[in-house]
Amino acid sequence: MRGLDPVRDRAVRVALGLWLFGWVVKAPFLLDLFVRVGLGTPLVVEGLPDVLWHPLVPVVAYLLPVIAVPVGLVRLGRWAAWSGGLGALCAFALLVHVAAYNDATFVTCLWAGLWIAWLATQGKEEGVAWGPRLAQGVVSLVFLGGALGKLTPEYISGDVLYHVYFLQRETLFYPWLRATLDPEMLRTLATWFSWSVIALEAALATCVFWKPRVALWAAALACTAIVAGSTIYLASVMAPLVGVCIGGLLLRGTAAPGRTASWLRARLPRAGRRAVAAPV
Amino acid sequence: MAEWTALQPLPGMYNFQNRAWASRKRIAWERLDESDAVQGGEYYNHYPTRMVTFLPTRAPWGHVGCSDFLYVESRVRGRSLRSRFRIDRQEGGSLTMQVDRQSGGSTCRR
Repeated sequence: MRGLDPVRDRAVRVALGLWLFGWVVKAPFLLDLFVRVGLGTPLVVEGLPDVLWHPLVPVVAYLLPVIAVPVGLVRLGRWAAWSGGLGALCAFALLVHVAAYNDATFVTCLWAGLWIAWLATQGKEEGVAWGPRLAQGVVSLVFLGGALGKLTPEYISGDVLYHVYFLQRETLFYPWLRATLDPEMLRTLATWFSWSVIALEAALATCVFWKPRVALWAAALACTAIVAGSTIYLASVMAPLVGVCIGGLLLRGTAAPGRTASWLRARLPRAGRRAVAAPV
Repeated sequence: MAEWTALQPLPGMYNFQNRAWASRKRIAWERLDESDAVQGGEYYNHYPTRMVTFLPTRAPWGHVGCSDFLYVESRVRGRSLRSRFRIDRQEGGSLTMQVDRQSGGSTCRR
C-alpha cells in the first residue's frame, strides 16, 4: 500500500510520529510508575478482575507500541494501520487499568490511534474527503468532555483551579504568584483563569463545525499553547492531537474546497444529491 | 463494571471538584468534616484515587496488621459523593485496596 498515495502516507507518518512522541515523552515517569512502583509494590484492588490490577499489564501495554509504532512509521500502509490500532488498543488497556486509569495521555492516544488506523486503510479519495473532518471530530470530542465537566459551579467560581493550580502547584509561575499577589487578587486571577479555560475548551469543542483549514490550524496552535503554558508532561496529551490536526491539514492541502460534498454527491443516489449541493 | 469500562475512553480531564485525604484511622462519616485528615486534604484535577494509584511511591501506605484509609470526594452542582477505601499492606509487600463499607470509627494501635 505504501507509495500508492504519498499524501495519505505523509499525513499518517506525521500523525503517527507525533503520537509516538506523546506516548514516550512521559516515559521516565510512567516506566518508573509501572515498573519500579507497580512491580515493586503491587496494588491489588479487591473486587476487580485480575487483568485490571495485575502489575504486568501496564508494562506490556506501554511497551508494545514503543516497539510497534516505529515499524509502522517506517513501513507505512498496512503496518501503520496495525500499529495505530495496536496503539489505540494499548491505550484502552491502560485507561481501564488501575495503574493509569483515565490518564488523559491515553485518552488522546486512543482516539488519535483510531484516526491513524482508519486513515492508513483508506484510499486517496476517502482519506482526503473524510480525514480532515474526522480529525476535527477527534479534537471536538476531547475538548467537549473537558468543557462539559467544567460547566459546574465549582469551576465557574474558579474554586477548583484556585486550589489545584494557584495554591498547590509548585511549578512554573504559581509559587511566584503566591508570593507576589495578595490572596484576594490570587483568587480573582484564578476565577479569570478558570473562565478562560472553559471558554477555550468550549470553542475547541465546536471545531468540528468550522471550516477544516481554520479549525485544524486553530486547534493545533491552541494545543501547542496549552503545553507552553503548563508543563512539558502535557505534551503527552496534546502531541497526538496536534498530529491528527497536522495530518488533517496535509490531507486538506490537496483537497479542493467542498471535497467532502463532492465525494458524497458522487456516491449518493440522484434524489439525495440535492441535500449536499452546497460546498462544505 | 461493563458501564465503567465503556466510559473510560470518554475524555474527562479536569472534571468536577475532587478531593482526597488520608488517615491512619477509620473516621465515622458524621465526624469526617471535623477531622484533621480532611483539613489536610488535597484537591485533584480528576480521579482522586490517584492519590494511591498514580503517585511515584506507595511507601507511606499500609502497615502490616494496620489499615490505612483513603477518603475521596467528588462534588458537582452541590452534590457530593464520598467514598472510603481501606488499604492494607501484605507480608510480601503488596498493597490491597478495597471499598470500606463498615460504619463507625476505629483506630489501630501502631
